[in-house]
Amino acid sequence: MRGRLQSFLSNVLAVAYKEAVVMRHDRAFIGMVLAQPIMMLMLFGFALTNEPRNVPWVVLDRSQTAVSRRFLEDVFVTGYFERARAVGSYEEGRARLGRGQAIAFVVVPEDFGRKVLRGGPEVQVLVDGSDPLTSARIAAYIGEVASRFDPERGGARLARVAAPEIGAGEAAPLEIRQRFEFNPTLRDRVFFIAALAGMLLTNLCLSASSLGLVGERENGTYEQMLALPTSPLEIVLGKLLPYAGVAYLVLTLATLLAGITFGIWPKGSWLALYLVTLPFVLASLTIGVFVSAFARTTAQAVFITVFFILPSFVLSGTMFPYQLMPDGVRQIGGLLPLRWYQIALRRIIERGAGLEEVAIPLVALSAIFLVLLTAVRRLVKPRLG
Amino acid sequence: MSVQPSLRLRGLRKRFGQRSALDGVDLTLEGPQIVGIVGPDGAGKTTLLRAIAGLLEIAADEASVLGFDLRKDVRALKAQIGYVPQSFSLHRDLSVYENLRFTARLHRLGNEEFERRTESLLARTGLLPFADRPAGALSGGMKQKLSIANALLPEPALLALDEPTAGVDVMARDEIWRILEERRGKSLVLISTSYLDETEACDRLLYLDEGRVVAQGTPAELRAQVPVRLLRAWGSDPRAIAKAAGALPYVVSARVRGPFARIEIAAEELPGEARLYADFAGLVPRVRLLEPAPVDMESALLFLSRKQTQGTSAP
Amino acid sequence: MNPRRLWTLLVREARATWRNPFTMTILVAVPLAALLVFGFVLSTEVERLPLGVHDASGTASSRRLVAELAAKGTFVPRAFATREGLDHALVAGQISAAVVIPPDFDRRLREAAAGGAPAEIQVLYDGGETVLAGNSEAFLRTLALSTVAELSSGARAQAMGGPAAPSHVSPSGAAGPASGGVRVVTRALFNPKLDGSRFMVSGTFGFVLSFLTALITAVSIVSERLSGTFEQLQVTPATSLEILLGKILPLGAVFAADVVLMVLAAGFLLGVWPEGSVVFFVIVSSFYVLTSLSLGLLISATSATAAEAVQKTVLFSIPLVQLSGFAFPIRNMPAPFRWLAELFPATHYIRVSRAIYLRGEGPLSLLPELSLLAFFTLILVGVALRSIEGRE
Repeated sequence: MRGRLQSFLSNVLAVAYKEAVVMRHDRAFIGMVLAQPIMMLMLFGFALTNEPRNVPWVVLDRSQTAVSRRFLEDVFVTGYFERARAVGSYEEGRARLGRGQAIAFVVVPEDFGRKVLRGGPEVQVLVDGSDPLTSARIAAYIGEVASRFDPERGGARLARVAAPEIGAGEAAPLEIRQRFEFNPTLRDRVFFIAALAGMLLTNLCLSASSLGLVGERENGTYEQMLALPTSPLEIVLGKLLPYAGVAYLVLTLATLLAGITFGIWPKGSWLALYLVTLPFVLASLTIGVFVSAFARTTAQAVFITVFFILPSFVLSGTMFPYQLMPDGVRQIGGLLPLRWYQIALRRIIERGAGLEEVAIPLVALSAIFLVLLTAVRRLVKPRLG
Repeated sequence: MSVQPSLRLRGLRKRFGQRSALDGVDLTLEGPQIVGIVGPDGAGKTTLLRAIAGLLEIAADEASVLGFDLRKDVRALKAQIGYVPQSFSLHRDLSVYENLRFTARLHRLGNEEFERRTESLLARTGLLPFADRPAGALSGGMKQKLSIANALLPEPALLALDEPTAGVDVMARDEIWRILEERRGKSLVLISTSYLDETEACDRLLYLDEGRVVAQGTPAELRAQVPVRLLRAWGSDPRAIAKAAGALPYVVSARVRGPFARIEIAAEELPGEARLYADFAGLVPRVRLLEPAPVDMESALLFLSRKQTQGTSAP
Repeated sequence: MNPRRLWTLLVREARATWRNPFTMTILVAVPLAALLVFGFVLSTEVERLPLGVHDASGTASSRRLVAELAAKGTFVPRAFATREGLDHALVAGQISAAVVIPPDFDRRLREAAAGGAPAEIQVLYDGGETVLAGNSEAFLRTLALSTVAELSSGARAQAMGGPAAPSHVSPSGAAGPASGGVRVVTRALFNPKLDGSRFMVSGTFGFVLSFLTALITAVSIVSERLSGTFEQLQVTPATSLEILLGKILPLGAVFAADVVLMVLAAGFLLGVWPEGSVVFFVIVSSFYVLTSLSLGLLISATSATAAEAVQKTVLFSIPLVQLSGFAFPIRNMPAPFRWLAELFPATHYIRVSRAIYLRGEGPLSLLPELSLLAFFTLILVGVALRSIEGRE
């Protein structure tokens, strides 16, 4: 029994060593491993965000009073909007929305100045609802400015709506003191970069294992190895082992880069981060083994991999919050390892979670991995044909 | 290597989906020797070699290779097998030396032993100067020699080679055979080939067709089975002689081989010597010389394949 | 160019594509799956969100507040006896928002009604989930304010005409009472329910036609070259332009059919039909397919193996898809990225398809975008054709 185990380990290591040597020769692969974290970090750190900016808006100020102008100025200084364009008529404003030249249209009624003094001032806001994320946020910003608008004091100047401990107005009878924990300024950057490792490792593990195995089969090296005194399980494990190592390298690299460039360091425990990564990496590699079993050529393997990865980014909640997805879709996403890994990543990196708080994702990931492993052992036959 | 290599197959079958690749192979081989596997395309040569190497899931009444049952766990068997697949299948990105080291590790060869054997194998195959070259960058012949060196590294009791000399130049073919000759008294070497001269070098030949062994024996035995007499005719225009001879009723085939016309005659229809010489003397391009020739492998194999097609077309 | 020869090549290619189950599956399944996935996922409607509640007051009015928060189905309250437990649950991600009601809530509420300082509650959000936090903030604020307004003075609440309905239609800071604050009446045009599927569906066309088209084109040309059939064709009298056209035109036709398939699927499965003309949309999309075909052709010309072609396409397409405004508005990006995005044909196509799908715009108002798109297409087709000539 001990001899069996020893030979198993030694065979796995031999294959792993061979794979590592092959990997070292593969410049394209090394390039991908190094370039991808940087590219994704740049994209999500600088370019890609749902926070509205440079929002074009039009204004029909029928009141034309100092106080109405101050209100509109307050909206502008939130920093989300471009300079407002005045329109001459209600119809013109609607038409501009219709042509996509403006996303919001604020109408200040004639009696605004009077109502400010007597109470119950009102403005009408029309937003282009086409892009729900943008329009919901714009409406919220304008509403926020409006609710704190104080004509006597010249208006509350809000640099950012979501500043911590908003309050100090006198909105009787209730004051809501609110705080956005973990990400006080509600930056999308934090949301995405926290889950960056999930995207990178999905890419890496899936393509490495599916392409690697199909490639071995295409080149005949798989059959050649099978003729040696080793088993398919040893071959597959040995082949995947170095990629698990590379995955940890990428994880470390991405985490350090995010910390250095954007100051987004993990607030929680590194141990939890590394631990929860293990079942995720193993599960992702195993999915790659599945793909390799169904793909006949490398091109097919890449196809299947790509078209598995893209929806899994979406359905897992990495790009959009899974909490908002309809029933059914949300549950399907729960079958993806990435769903649980991104949950764990965001808990550890943003909220400072330790091992205890990521216990559920850890268990879920391990369960997914075990199910996949059982299935894959049936799929990978000890012999061909 | 004290074990006497042996192989016993009874009713070995292998299907790929609907297609039957091996349809009840019966075969017994004892002791070290070189066994050639011949037969038409699609006869099942590759499948038979892969099955014997333990690569395929098979069905059989009996399937024992080196004393291991092919139907059961074949891991221990693989430790004593060297396999050279039809197309080059080593890691192209690894160097010659790295490829061999990988195989050695899986065979759990000690370092010293590995260095000693590698040194000698590389020297014998002429690959020594290229030890550090990536396998993918070798020429076709060198790749093939590397595959064979790789298969010989564990000093296997059974060596299975699938057309190792196909598409390889004459020099390399010669070298490959010199290496195989060294194993003749030590291993059971199974080699599939389509070169006639190579079949002559085998101790034993298997003729495979439609997934069955339809004939086997030493080359001499196979030749003796052939009910054909061979004649060589020489004259000024061998092509015309062959054409004219082909018209004689008892001539099975007549072809040009070099300066001769090679004429096969069905043994049972062989006319008396006098009639034979008379007939040939009467051919229009004059035959200057007619002599009997020994039956060669070409005749033997052509006969076997003809017999098979007739057998299957008229059940 | 010889039309008969081209026809022969077209028929051969169509037959080969038809008989390749893998390609056919990809061509049908990927557009449909993309539509469904993207059509469903983007939603702003907060539903059954776990809400932590630490009610230190424990009075009738505080319980009423919590009950109101639960009533609309937006939040599912979970009581926490201690503040620590609440914080812990927030870290562990068990709740996405939390309300803390102080012990003096009831007393302060009565004082406020009598003209004193307002009562206070504290609301915590999981800011890590930016979209979720932003949306639930609007809902919770509206719900809490309206409930408390009713609690403190039913008459006053009625005088204000009731707070804006706390549905997802108006995530406004509505219902601000009279002293300070402006009441905002918000209306979302074109998509009153702020439903994400229309927006995403119209963008998915851009995604599928840019990515899948280039990918399939590149791979099928490279595999053809590798399998040697290309060489086989080149020894026939057919010119390489004819061979490539014979390869590409059937693919183009398939993708045009994909456009129609996607329009129908979006309509019947998701209930999303274009506001504008379907015919106009299909024509513009088929034209855009040319751009992606040319891109695929260019990629194939520089790739040695099919796997390399796929990797190049993916590497090239990911930023393209991300920066084209498909998922993230270009407007939100810093200037250099915005300029870069304008250089991608996909950006302009997505803009056009959104204009047709969401706002029903016609050819006239889209003229500038359409001519830019045509310009890019002509350049790409030209470069791709040259790359073919170069290989002869």
